[in-house]
Amino acid sequence: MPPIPVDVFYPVPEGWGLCQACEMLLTRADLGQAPPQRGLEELPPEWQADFQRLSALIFDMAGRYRERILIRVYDPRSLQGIFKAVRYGVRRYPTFVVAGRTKIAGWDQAALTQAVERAGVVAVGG
Amino acid sequence: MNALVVLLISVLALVAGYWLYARSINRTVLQPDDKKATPAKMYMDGVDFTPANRNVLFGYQFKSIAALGPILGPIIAVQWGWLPALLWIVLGTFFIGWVQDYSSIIMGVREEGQSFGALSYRLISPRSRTVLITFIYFYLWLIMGSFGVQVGFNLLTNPAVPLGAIIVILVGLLAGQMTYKWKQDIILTSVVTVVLSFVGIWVGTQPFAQNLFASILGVAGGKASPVLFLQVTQAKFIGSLLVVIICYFGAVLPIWRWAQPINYVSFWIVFLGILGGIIGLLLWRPGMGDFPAYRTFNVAGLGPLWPMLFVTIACGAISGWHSLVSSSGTARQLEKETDALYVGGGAMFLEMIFATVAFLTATVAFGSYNGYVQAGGGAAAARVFSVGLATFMNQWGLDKTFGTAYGSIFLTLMALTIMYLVVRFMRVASSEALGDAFPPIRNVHVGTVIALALTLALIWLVPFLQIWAVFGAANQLMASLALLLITLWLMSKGKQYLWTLIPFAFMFITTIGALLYKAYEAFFINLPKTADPVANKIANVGEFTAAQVIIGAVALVLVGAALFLAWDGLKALQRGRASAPVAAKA
Repeated sequence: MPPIPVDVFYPVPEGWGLCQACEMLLTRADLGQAPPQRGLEELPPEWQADFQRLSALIFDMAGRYRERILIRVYDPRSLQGIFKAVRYGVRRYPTFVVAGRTKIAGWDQAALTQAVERAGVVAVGG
Repeated sequence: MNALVVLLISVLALVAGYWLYARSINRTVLQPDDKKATPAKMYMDGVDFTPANRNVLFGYQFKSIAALGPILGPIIAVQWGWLPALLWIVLGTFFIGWVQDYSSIIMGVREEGQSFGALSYRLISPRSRTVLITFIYFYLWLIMGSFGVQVGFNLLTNPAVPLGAIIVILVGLLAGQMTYKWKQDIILTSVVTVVLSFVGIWVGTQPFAQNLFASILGVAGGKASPVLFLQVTQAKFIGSLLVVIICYFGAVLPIWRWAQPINYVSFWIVFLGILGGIIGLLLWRPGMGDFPAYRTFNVAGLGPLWPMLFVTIACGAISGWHSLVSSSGTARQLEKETDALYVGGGAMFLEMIFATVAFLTATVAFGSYNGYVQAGGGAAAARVFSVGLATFMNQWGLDKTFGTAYGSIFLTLMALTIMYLVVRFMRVASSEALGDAFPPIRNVHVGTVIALALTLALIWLVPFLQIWAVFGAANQLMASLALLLITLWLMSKGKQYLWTLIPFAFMFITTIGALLYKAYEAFFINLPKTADPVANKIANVGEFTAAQVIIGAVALVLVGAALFLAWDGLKALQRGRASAPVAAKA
């Protein structure tokens, strides 16, 4: 059975989204932290906390369902991300779209789990 | 030649290069294997090592490699004639450009995402890393100088441009506020800020705004802007000051507050501008008029066709900058080995098309070589591009004054997004290097001001074409290093390496030739001219002397760096030959 797609919409912190090559130099020359880390630390505190929370949630899902789901993170500020956000009517972040059908806006982890399992995915070991 | 024929040649080169040559090398030499775990999967940390979809990664790769280089280089290089420039764009990409980008990714993946510096440390020598960092300092300074001149002297000096640029920057700040503080929907934020940006650009072209800025720039009534000091006019002084003020805020404010949202708004302006320009070009289908296929072997300010053409066009044919992105950034996010050709090779071939479009803004938009010169020529390449783009967009009805302001702001924003980060780098680097001896330099504002003062010195003292030539040579020095590393790596793995060794030899000899020529030109052709400043039309002897000393010295430092690398690389090649597996073949 092919993996069920779980699309996540969230404005990803972009310490390096400006010019990857320039930012790369900082790291390569050992003159700074990894660009994404630096970008994260410059964000307002509530955004830092939200990003950590989202990372934990994604890693948790990846660990629970492994190859049975395919998690794709879309930044709605990217070309692809904005087209998908328009298509699914995403207005809040994070928003999860499970199997291209069920949309869960916000942090409702129970609803997300329910949507994934309703799509026929069983947790590994479950 | 018709513009469509030129585009067709580029597309054919893309088809032949990507589907025949690159795929053949991919299949027979590097043999990517999807069963091998990539570093993105092995070390997934959600930060640096993250598997990414190949289309997303293609976008990142292209965004990272296609900045101002592929636009300005071809516009400057057509001074030798359009044919040498076009041939180098197409053949350089075909035989060298994709080879470097793609192989850097594969090497990075197979070496578990090790950084470029670490690889050079291991494959060449420990001191190569120090040489690399020295090179980077000079390289970034040259970036600041060349982009700073184009924006401060050629774009912001048009009275129809500064107000629009300032409004777009303010709109960018609004985008940051809407996203991060008011937590607004990004679709709404995008629509509001992009529409406001276009309104801002239009307001900047209105007579009241143009008159206001004409007075500020000292060009009211069409008169020439007065010279304030050296050869810096009031317009150039204000333009360059605007650049450093914008860069100052970009370097000291948090990324989410300034650089990132302004860049986001810029993305739409650039994207729509490229789209509008290409549509206009396709509708118009102009010819080159009397633009010469071959004009001269020796271009004033640049030098002889060989070696200078091959460093004048770097991005768009082959650029060492790309190897940094490919070897460590992209290699750490590749989901499958078989994605490497699509991402690395594909993005490079697309950049070739981008460079071809820039080439066409110089060669077809003005109908003649004289028109190109009158629009600013190679010394004002950014202005040529913005007027050329406006001419293309005029074909579907966009007002030319608005189009020119739009093209200028498009390039200004592209340059500034890079310049913020370069200033940040210079600040961190000076703090690390001199912080113990001079503690005040650790202060964010002090470090930034010093970096910007150095930038102003370069902008005000050194002519653009001299900066650009040495900047291009520095870029190609990095390409030589990357190709050398790839060759050594292929040897160590017992794989065929002639297809990277020959490009390395060509790039290395050419780069050394270019740097030596620039040093020779500065010290032995230009400096002696100060003996008779009147006959040689030197307006300010002190400024002229300083410019030649700066350029000559930077060129010599880079030659020194290149020779260190070559010597260590030669020894590494000999070690590689002695220890290479039996299967290794040229």
